[in-house]
Amino acid sequence: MPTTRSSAPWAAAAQRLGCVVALGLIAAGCSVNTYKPAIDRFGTATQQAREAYTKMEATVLAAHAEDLRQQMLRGDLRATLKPGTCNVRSERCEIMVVDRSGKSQPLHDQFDNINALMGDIADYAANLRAIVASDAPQQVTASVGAAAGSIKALSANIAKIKGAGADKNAAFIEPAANIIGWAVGEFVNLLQVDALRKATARANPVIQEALPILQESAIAASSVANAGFAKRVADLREAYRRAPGDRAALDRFEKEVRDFDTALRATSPAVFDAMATAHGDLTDALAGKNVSVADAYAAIEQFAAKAEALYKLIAALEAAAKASKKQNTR
Amino acid sequence: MSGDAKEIIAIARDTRTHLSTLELTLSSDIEAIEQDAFAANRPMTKAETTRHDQLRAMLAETRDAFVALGFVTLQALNNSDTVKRLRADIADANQQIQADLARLKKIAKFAEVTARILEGLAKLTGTLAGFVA
Repeated sequence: MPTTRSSAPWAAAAQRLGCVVALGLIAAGCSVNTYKPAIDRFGTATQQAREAYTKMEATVLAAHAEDLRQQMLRGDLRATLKPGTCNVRSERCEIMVVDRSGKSQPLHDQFDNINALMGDIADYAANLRAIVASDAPQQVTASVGAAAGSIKALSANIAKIKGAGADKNAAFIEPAANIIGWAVGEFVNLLQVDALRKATARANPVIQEALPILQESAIAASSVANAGFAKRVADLREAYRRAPGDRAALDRFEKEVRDFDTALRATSPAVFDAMATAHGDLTDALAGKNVSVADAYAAIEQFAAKAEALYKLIAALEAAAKASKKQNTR
Repeated sequence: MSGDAKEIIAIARDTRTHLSTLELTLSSDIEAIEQDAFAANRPMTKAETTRHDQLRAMLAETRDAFVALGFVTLQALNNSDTVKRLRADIADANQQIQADLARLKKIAKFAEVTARILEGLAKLTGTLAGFVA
Protein backbone atom coordinates (compact mmCIF):
# COMPACT_ATOMS: atom_id res chain seq x y z
CA MET A 1 0.00 0.00 0.00
CA PRO A 2 2.49 2.64 -1.15
CA THR A 3 0.02 5.50 -1.36
CA THR A 4 -1.17 5.11 2.22
CA ARG A 5 2.40 4.88 3.43
CA SER A 6 3.39 8.02 1.54
CA SER A 7 0.37 10.06 2.63
CA ALA A 8 0.56 9.32 6.34
CA PRO A 9 4.08 10.77 6.93
CA TRP A 10 3.13 13.87 4.90
CA ALA A 11 0.04 14.55 7.00
CA ALA A 12 1.93 13.77 10.19
CA ALA A 13 4.73 16.15 9.20
CA ALA A 14 2.19 18.88 8.54
CA GLN A 15 0.59 18.22 11.89
CA ARG A 16 3.98 18.32 13.59
CA LEU A 17 4.77 21.63 11.86
CA GLY A 18 1.47 23.04 13.11
CA CYS A 19 2.19 21.88 16.63
CA VAL A 20 5.70 23.32 16.60
CA VAL A 21 4.42 26.69 15.38
CA ALA A 22 1.57 26.62 17.92
CA LEU A 23 3.94 25.80 20.79
CA GLY A 24 6.33 28.49 19.59
CA LEU A 25 3.55 31.05 19.57
CA ILE A 26 2.30 30.06 22.99
CA ALA A 27 5.85 30.25 24.35
CA ALA A 28 6.41 33.65 22.77
CA GLY A 29 2.95 34.83 23.88
CA CYS A 30 2.85 37.14 20.91
CA SER A 31 -0.42 37.13 19.08
CA VAL A 32 -0.96 40.46 17.38
CA ASN A 33 -4.49 40.46 18.82
CA THR A 34 -2.97 40.70 22.31
CA TYR A 35 -1.67 44.16 21.45
CA LYS A 36 -4.59 45.33 19.32
CA PRO A 37 -6.68 47.04 22.05
CA ALA A 38 -3.60 48.81 23.47
CA ILE A 39 -2.42 50.01 20.08
CA ASP A 40 -5.92 51.11 19.02
CA ARG A 41 -6.29 53.11 22.23
CA PHE A 42 -2.82 54.61 21.86
CA GLY A 43 -3.74 55.68 18.32
CA THR A 44 -6.98 57.46 19.28
CA ALA A 45 -5.39 59.10 22.33
CA THR A 46 -2.44 60.37 20.30
CA GLN A 47 -4.81 61.83 17.74
CA GLN A 48 -6.77 63.58 20.50
CA ALA A 49 -3.58 64.92 22.09
CA ARG A 50 -2.55 66.23 18.69
CA GLU A 51 -5.87 67.99 18.13
CA ALA A 52 -5.75 69.49 21.63
CA TYR A 53 -2.20 70.69 21.00
CA THR A 54 -3.19 72.28 17.68
CA LYS A 55 -5.98 74.18 19.42
CA MET A 56 -3.61 75.35 22.18
CA GLU A 57 -1.11 76.48 19.58
CA ALA A 58 -3.86 78.39 17.77
CA THR A 59 -4.50 80.26 21.05
CA VAL A 60 -0.86 81.40 21.17
CA LEU A 61 -0.92 82.52 17.54
CA ALA A 62 -4.23 84.37 18.00
CA ALA A 63 -2.93 86.12 21.15
CA HIS A 64 0.24 87.14 19.32
CA ALA A 65 -1.73 88.46 16.32
CA GLU A 66 -4.00 90.43 18.67
CA ASP A 67 -0.96 91.92 20.42
CA LEU A 68 0.41 93.03 17.03
CA ARG A 69 -2.99 94.55 16.12
CA GLN A 70 -3.00 96.53 19.37
CA GLN A 71 0.49 97.82 18.59
CA MET A 72 -0.67 98.81 15.09
CA LEU A 73 -3.67 100.64 16.52
CA ARG A 74 -1.36 102.52 18.92
CA GLY A 75 0.80 103.50 15.95
CA ASP A 76 3.87 101.56 17.10
CA LEU A 77 3.68 99.19 14.15
CA ARG A 78 2.41 99.51 10.58
CA ALA A 79 0.49 96.96 8.55
CA THR A 80 1.61 96.37 4.98
CA LEU A 81 1.57 93.58 2.40
CA LYS A 82 4.16 90.86 2.13
CA PRO A 83 6.36 91.67 -0.89
CA GLY A 84 5.23 89.87 -4.02
CA THR A 85 1.82 88.94 -2.62
CA CYS A 86 -1.65 90.35 -3.27
CA ASN A 87 -0.96 91.11 -6.94
CA VAL A 88 -3.09 89.91 -9.84
CA ARG A 89 -0.76 86.99 -10.62
CA SER A 90 0.28 86.30 -7.03
CA GLU A 91 -0.25 82.92 -5.40
CA ARG A 92 -0.88 84.35 -1.93
CA CYS A 93 -2.08 87.55 -0.25
CA GLU A 94 -0.57 88.15 3.19
CA ILE A 95 -0.32 90.97 5.74
CA MET A 96 3.06 91.85 7.21
CA VAL A 97 3.71 94.04 10.23
CA VAL A 98 6.64 96.47 10.10
CA ASP A 99 8.28 98.48 12.89
CA ARG A 100 10.04 101.86 12.45
CA SER A 101 13.41 100.22 11.84
CA GLY A 102 11.90 98.28 8.93
CA LYS A 103 11.94 94.92 10.72
CA SER A 104 8.95 92.92 9.55
CA GLN A 105 7.03 89.86 10.67
CA PRO A 106 3.88 88.11 9.48
CA LEU A 107 0.66 89.01 11.26
CA HIS A 108 -0.51 85.42 11.00
CA ASP A 109 2.46 83.25 11.97
CA GLN A 110 2.61 79.46 12.06
CA PHE A 111 4.68 76.90 13.91
CA ASP A 112 4.88 74.37 11.12
CA ASN A 113 7.66 72.16 12.49
CA ILE A 114 6.26 71.50 15.98
CA ASN A 115 2.81 70.97 14.53
CA ALA A 116 4.24 68.62 11.91
CA LEU A 117 6.22 66.72 14.58
CA MET A 118 3.00 66.19 16.52
CA GLY A 119 1.32 65.17 13.24
CA ASP A 120 4.14 62.73 12.42
CA ILE A 121 3.77 61.10 15.86
CA ALA A 122 0.00 60.81 15.29
CA ASP A 123 0.70 59.29 11.84
CA TYR A 124 3.11 56.84 13.47
CA ALA A 125 0.40 55.77 15.93
CA ALA A 126 -2.02 55.35 12.99
CA ASN A 127 0.58 53.23 11.18
CA LEU A 128 0.89 50.95 14.23
CA ARG A 129 -2.89 50.55 14.09
CA ALA A 130 -2.65 49.66 10.39
CA ILE A 131 -0.23 46.84 11.22
CA VAL A 132 -2.49 45.31 13.87
CA ALA A 133 -5.53 45.84 11.63
CA SER A 134 -3.87 44.08 8.68
CA ASP A 135 -5.85 40.94 7.75
CA ALA A 136 -2.87 39.36 5.96
CA PRO A 137 -2.85 36.23 8.23
CA GLN A 138 -6.56 35.59 7.54
CA GLN A 139 -6.03 36.21 3.82
CA VAL A 140 -3.11 33.78 3.71
CA THR A 141 -5.05 31.13 5.66
CA ALA A 142 -8.02 31.52 3.30
CA SER A 143 -5.79 31.33 0.22
CA VAL A 144 -4.04 28.16 1.46
CA GLY A 145 -7.48 26.65 2.18
CA ALA A 146 -8.60 27.46 -1.36
CA ALA A 147 -5.35 26.04 -2.73
CA ALA A 148 -6.02 22.79 -0.86
CA GLY A 149 -9.33 22.35 -2.69
CA SER A 150 -7.59 22.93 -6.00
CA ILE A 151 -4.75 20.51 -5.17
CA LYS A 152 -7.33 17.85 -4.26
CA ALA A 153 -9.14 18.34 -7.59
CA LEU A 154 -5.82 18.45 -9.43
CA SER A 155 -4.69 15.19 -7.83
CA ALA A 156 -7.96 13.44 -8.68
CA ASN A 157 -7.84 14.71 -12.28
CA ILE A 158 -4.24 13.58 -12.78
CA ALA A 159 -5.18 10.14 -11.43
CA LYS A 160 -8.05 10.00 -13.96
CA ILE A 161 -5.77 11.05 -16.82
CA LYS A 162 -3.25 8.36 -15.80
CA GLY A 163 -6.11 5.90 -15.63
CA ALA A 164 -5.33 5.09 -11.98
CA GLY A 165 -7.86 4.89 -9.15
CA ALA A 166 -8.59 7.62 -6.70
CA ASP A 167 -5.50 9.09 -5.10
CA LYS A 168 -5.52 8.16 -1.42
CA ASN A 169 -3.34 11.23 -0.69
CA ALA A 170 -6.35 13.37 -1.56
CA ALA A 171 -8.03 12.44 1.71
CA PHE A 172 -5.15 14.02 3.63
CA ILE A 173 -4.72 17.12 1.50
CA GLU A 174 -7.49 19.19 3.08
CA PRO A 175 -6.71 18.55 6.78
CA ALA A 176 -2.99 19.00 6.14
CA ALA A 177 -3.61 22.19 4.20
CA ASN A 178 -5.77 23.48 7.02
CA ILE A 179 -2.89 22.98 9.43
CA ILE A 180 -0.40 24.52 7.00
CA GLY A 181 -2.78 27.41 6.32
CA TRP A 182 -3.14 28.03 10.03
CA ALA A 183 0.63 27.75 10.57
CA VAL A 184 1.41 30.12 7.69
CA GLY A 185 -1.25 32.52 9.00
CA GLU A 186 0.38 32.42 12.41
CA PHE A 187 3.77 32.99 10.79
CA VAL A 188 2.40 36.16 9.18
CA ASN A 189 1.00 37.05 12.60
CA LEU A 190 4.54 36.75 13.96
CA LEU A 191 5.72 39.07 11.20
CA GLN A 192 3.08 41.60 12.34
CA VAL A 193 4.27 41.41 15.95
CA ASP A 194 7.87 41.70 14.76
CA ALA A 195 6.95 44.80 12.73
CA LEU A 196 5.34 46.34 15.84
CA ARG A 197 8.37 45.49 17.93
CA LYS A 198 10.80 47.03 15.44
CA ALA A 199 8.66 50.14 14.93
CA THR A 200 8.16 50.87 18.63
CA ALA A 201 11.84 50.22 19.42
CA ARG A 202 12.84 52.66 16.70
CA ALA A 203 10.27 55.35 17.56
CA ASN A 204 10.61 55.18 21.35
CA PRO A 205 13.86 57.18 21.69
CA VAL A 206 12.37 59.82 19.37
CA ILE A 207 9.16 60.07 21.41
CA GLN A 208 11.11 60.21 24.69
CA GLU A 209 13.33 62.97 23.26
CA ALA A 210 10.33 64.88 21.90
CA LEU A 211 8.65 64.78 25.34
CA PRO A 212 10.32 67.89 26.90
CA ILE A 213 9.74 69.84 23.69
CA LEU A 214 6.05 68.94 23.56
CA GLN A 215 5.73 69.57 27.31
CA GLU A 216 7.38 72.99 27.00
CA SER A 217 5.21 73.85 23.99
CA ALA A 218 2.12 72.87 25.98
CA ILE A 219 3.26 74.92 29.00
CA ALA A 220 3.98 77.93 26.76
CA ALA A 221 0.59 77.57 25.10
CA SER A 222 -1.30 77.15 28.37
CA SER A 223 0.58 80.16 29.86
CA VAL A 224 -0.73 82.28 27.02
CA ALA A 225 -4.29 81.10 27.57
CA ASN A 226 -3.92 81.54 31.35
CA ALA A 227 -2.52 85.07 30.96
CA GLY A 228 -5.71 86.04 29.12
CA PHE A 229 -7.84 84.60 31.94
CA ALA A 230 -5.69 86.27 34.61
CA LYS A 231 -6.09 89.67 32.95
CA ARG A 232 -9.86 89.28 32.66
CA VAL A 233 -10.11 88.14 36.30
CA ALA A 234 -8.03 91.17 37.40
CA ASP A 235 -10.23 93.57 35.39
CA LEU A 236 -13.48 92.10 36.77
CA ARG A 237 -12.07 92.06 40.28
CA GLU A 238 -11.26 95.77 39.91
CA ALA A 239 -14.75 96.50 38.50
CA TYR A 240 -16.28 94.78 41.54
CA ARG A 241 -13.91 96.63 43.93
CA ARG A 242 -15.05 99.93 42.51
CA ALA A 243 -18.73 98.95 42.84
CA PRO A 244 -18.93 96.51 45.77
CA GLY A 245 -22.72 96.83 45.93
CA ASP A 246 -23.17 95.85 42.26
CA ARG A 247 -24.51 92.27 42.16
CA ALA A 248 -23.87 91.90 38.40
CA ALA A 249 -20.23 92.95 38.85
CA LEU A 250 -19.80 90.34 41.59
CA ASP A 251 -21.43 87.65 39.43
CA ARG A 252 -19.20 88.46 36.45
CA PHE A 253 -16.09 88.33 38.67
CA GLU A 254 -17.18 85.02 40.22
CA LYS A 255 -17.93 83.45 36.82
CA GLU A 256 -14.57 84.43 35.35
CA VAL A 257 -12.80 82.99 38.41
CA ARG A 258 -14.67 79.70 37.93
CA ASP A 259 -13.75 79.59 34.22
CA PHE A 260 -10.11 80.28 34.99
CA ASP A 261 -10.12 77.57 37.64
CA THR A 262 -11.46 75.06 35.10
CA ALA A 263 -8.70 76.05 32.66
CA LEU A 264 -6.02 75.74 35.35
CA ARG A 265 -7.13 72.25 36.21
CA ALA A 266 -6.29 71.15 32.68
CA THR A 267 -3.23 68.94 32.72
CA SER A 268 -1.80 69.77 29.33
CA PRO A 269 1.90 69.09 29.96
CA ALA A 270 0.97 65.87 31.82
CA VAL A 271 -0.72 64.61 28.66
CA PHE A 272 2.59 64.41 26.83
CA ASP A 273 4.30 62.96 29.88
CA ALA A 274 1.61 60.25 29.93
CA MET A 275 2.05 59.71 26.19
CA ALA A 276 5.80 59.12 26.57
CA THR A 277 5.24 56.74 29.54
CA ALA A 278 2.55 54.82 27.66
CA HIS A 279 4.74 54.45 24.59
CA GLY A 280 7.73 53.37 26.68
CA ASP A 281 5.62 50.68 28.36
CA LEU A 282 4.21 49.51 25.03
CA THR A 283 7.75 49.22 23.60
CA ASP A 284 8.93 47.24 26.64
CA ALA A 285 5.88 44.96 26.59
CA LEU A 286 6.50 44.15 22.91
CA ALA A 287 10.18 43.55 23.64
CA GLY A 288 9.27 41.31 26.61
CA LYS A 289 11.11 43.60 29.07
CA ASN A 290 9.42 43.27 32.48
CA VAL A 291 6.29 45.16 31.39
CA SER A 292 3.14 43.12 30.84
CA VAL A 293 0.66 43.98 28.12
CA ALA A 294 -1.85 44.72 30.90
CA ASP A 295 0.54 47.26 32.46
CA ALA A 296 1.17 48.87 29.08
CA TYR A 297 -2.60 49.03 28.49
CA ALA A 298 -3.11 50.66 31.91
CA ALA A 299 -0.51 53.34 31.08
CA ILE A 300 -2.17 53.90 27.70
CA GLU A 301 -5.57 54.21 29.42
CA GLN A 302 -4.15 56.91 31.71
CA PHE A 303 -2.73 58.77 28.73
CA ALA A 304 -6.03 58.38 26.85
CA ALA A 305 -8.02 59.72 29.82
CA LYS A 306 -5.73 62.77 30.08
CA ALA A 307 -5.80 63.40 26.34
CA GLU A 308 -9.60 63.09 26.30
CA ALA A 309 -10.01 65.42 29.30
CA LEU A 310 -7.68 68.00 27.77
CA TYR A 311 -9.41 67.81 24.41
CA LYS A 312 -12.86 68.22 25.99
CA LEU A 313 -11.69 71.11 28.14
CA ILE A 314 -10.10 72.97 25.25
CA ALA A 315 -13.18 72.40 23.10
CA ALA A 316 -15.38 73.71 25.96
CA LEU A 317 -13.16 76.77 26.47
CA GLU A 318 -13.21 77.41 22.74
CA ALA A 319 -17.02 77.21 22.70
CA ALA A 320 -17.23 79.49 25.75
CA ALA A 321 -14.90 82.03 24.11
CA LYS A 322 -17.03 81.98 20.93
CA ALA A 323 -20.24 82.45 22.93
CA SER A 324 -18.70 85.31 24.91
CA LYS A 325 -17.46 86.98 21.70
CA LYS A 326 -20.96 86.65 20.17
CA GLN A 327 -22.49 88.20 23.29
CA ASN A 328 -20.02 91.10 23.20
CA THR A 329 -20.74 91.90 19.56
CA ARG A 330 -24.51 92.12 20.19
CA MET B 1 17.31 65.76 24.31
CA SER B 2 20.28 67.62 22.94
CA GLY B 3 21.42 70.92 21.50
CA ASP B 4 19.46 74.06 20.93
CA ALA B 5 16.04 72.84 22.18
CA LYS B 6 17.52 72.06 25.61
CA GLU B 7 18.91 75.59 25.84
CA ILE B 8 15.64 77.18 24.67
CA ILE B 9 13.68 75.20 27.27
CA ALA B 10 16.11 76.14 30.07
CA ILE B 11 15.88 79.86 29.21
CA ALA B 12 12.08 79.71 28.92
CA ARG B 13 11.75 77.97 32.31
CA ASP B 14 14.06 80.49 34.00
CA THR B 15 12.20 83.45 32.54
CA ARG B 16 8.84 81.94 33.49
CA THR B 17 10.01 81.42 37.07
CA HIS B 18 11.08 85.10 37.30
CA LEU B 19 7.80 86.27 35.83
CA SER B 20 5.81 84.06 38.23
CA THR B 21 7.70 85.48 41.21
CA LEU B 22 7.06 89.03 40.02
CA GLU B 23 3.38 88.24 39.40
CA LEU B 24 2.98 86.85 42.93
CA THR B 25 4.71 89.87 44.50
CA LEU B 26 2.58 92.35 42.55
CA SER B 27 -0.64 90.49 43.38
CA SER B 28 0.27 90.42 47.09
CA ASP B 29 1.03 94.16 47.09
CA ILE B 30 -2.29 94.94 45.40
CA GLU B 31 -4.13 92.76 47.89
CA ALA B 32 -2.35 94.43 50.83
CA ILE B 33 -3.42 97.92 49.73
CA GLU B 34 -7.05 96.82 49.24
CA GLN B 35 -7.17 94.98 52.59
CA ASP B 36 -5.64 97.91 54.52
CA ALA B 37 -8.38 100.24 53.29
CA PHE B 38 -11.11 97.63 53.87
CA ALA B 39 -9.86 96.82 57.39
CA ALA B 40 -9.97 100.50 58.28
CA ASN B 41 -13.43 100.69 56.68
CA ARG B 42 -12.40 103.58 54.44
CA PRO B 43 -11.81 104.22 50.73
CA MET B 44 -8.23 104.04 49.47
CA THR B 45 -6.26 107.23 49.90
CA LYS B 46 -5.02 109.12 46.84
CA ALA B 47 -1.50 107.76 47.35
CA GLU B 48 -2.83 104.22 47.73
CA THR B 49 -4.95 104.59 44.59
CA THR B 50 -1.97 105.79 42.56
CA ARG B 51 0.20 102.95 43.85
CA HIS B 52 -2.67 100.48 43.26
CA ASP B 53 -3.05 101.65 39.66
CA GLN B 54 0.70 101.42 39.08
CA LEU B 55 0.83 97.91 40.48
CA ARG B 56 -2.17 96.82 38.40
CA ALA B 57 -0.53 98.20 35.25
CA MET B 58 2.69 96.35 36.09
CA LEU B 59 0.74 93.17 36.71
CA ALA B 60 -0.98 93.50 33.33
CA GLU B 61 2.42 94.01 31.68
CA THR B 62 3.77 90.94 33.46
CA ARG B 63 0.91 88.91 32.03
CA ASP B 64 1.60 90.33 28.58
CA ALA B 65 5.18 89.18 29.09
CA PHE B 66 3.89 85.61 29.63
CA VAL B 67 2.11 85.84 26.27
CA ALA B 68 5.24 87.15 24.57
CA LEU B 69 7.38 84.48 26.23
CA GLY B 70 4.97 81.75 25.12
CA PHE B 71 5.12 82.93 21.52
CA VAL B 72 8.89 83.39 21.43
CA THR B 73 9.48 79.98 23.05
CA LEU B 74 7.26 78.19 20.57
CA GLN B 75 8.82 80.10 17.69
CA ALA B 76 12.35 79.22 18.85
CA LEU B 77 11.46 75.54 19.39
CA ASN B 78 9.72 75.44 16.03
CA ASN B 79 12.89 76.69 14.30
CA SER B 80 15.27 74.53 16.37
CA ASP B 81 17.49 71.91 14.75
CA THR B 82 16.34 69.39 17.38
CA VAL B 83 12.71 69.55 16.23
CA LYS B 84 13.79 69.23 12.60
CA ARG B 85 15.93 66.19 13.44
CA LEU B 86 13.15 64.57 15.49
CA ARG B 87 10.81 65.02 12.54
CA ALA B 88 13.30 63.25 10.28
CA ASP B 89 13.70 60.42 12.84
CA ILE B 90 9.98 59.80 13.24
CA ALA B 91 9.61 59.95 9.44
CA ASP B 92 12.18 57.12 9.23
CA ALA B 93 10.16 55.06 11.72
CA ASN B 94 7.03 55.70 9.66
CA GLN B 95 8.80 54.62 6.46
CA GLN B 96 9.89 51.39 8.13
CA ILE B 97 6.30 50.62 9.18
CA GLN B 98 5.05 51.37 5.67
CA ALA B 99 7.64 48.92 4.28
CA ASP B 100 6.52 46.24 6.76
CA LEU B 101 2.88 46.83 5.85
CA ALA B 102 3.76 46.49 2.16
CA ARG B 103 5.55 43.21 2.94
CA LEU B 104 2.48 41.84 4.74
CA LYS B 105 0.28 42.79 1.79
CA LYS B 106 2.78 41.15 -0.61
CA ILE B 107 2.68 37.85 1.32
CA ALA B 108 -1.13 37.84 1.30
CA LYS B 109 -1.13 38.65 -2.41
CA PHE B 110 1.40 35.88 -3.16
CA ALA B 111 -0.74 33.31 -1.34
CA GLU B 112 -3.82 34.50 -3.22
CA VAL B 113 -2.05 34.31 -6.62
CA THR B 114 -0.76 30.80 -5.83
CA ALA B 115 -4.27 29.68 -4.91
CA ARG B 116 -5.62 31.12 -8.19
CA ILE B 117 -2.93 29.38 -10.27
CA LEU B 118 -3.74 26.05 -8.60
CA GLU B 119 -7.43 26.64 -9.19
CA GLY B 120 -6.71 27.28 -12.88
CA LEU B 121 -4.57 24.14 -13.10
CA ALA B 122 -7.29 22.05 -11.42
CA LYS B 123 -9.85 23.33 -13.95
CA LEU B 124 -7.48 22.62 -16.85
CA THR B 125 -6.73 19.08 -15.69
CA GLY B 126 -10.46 18.56 -15.12
CA THR B 127 -11.09 19.42 -18.76
CA LEU B 128 -8.24 17.11 -19.87
CA ALA B 129 -9.57 14.30 -17.68
CA GLY B 130 -12.95 14.78 -19.37
CA PHE B 131 -11.34 14.24 -22.79
CA VAL B 132 -9.52 11.11 -21.59
CA ALA B 133 -12.70 9.65 -20.15
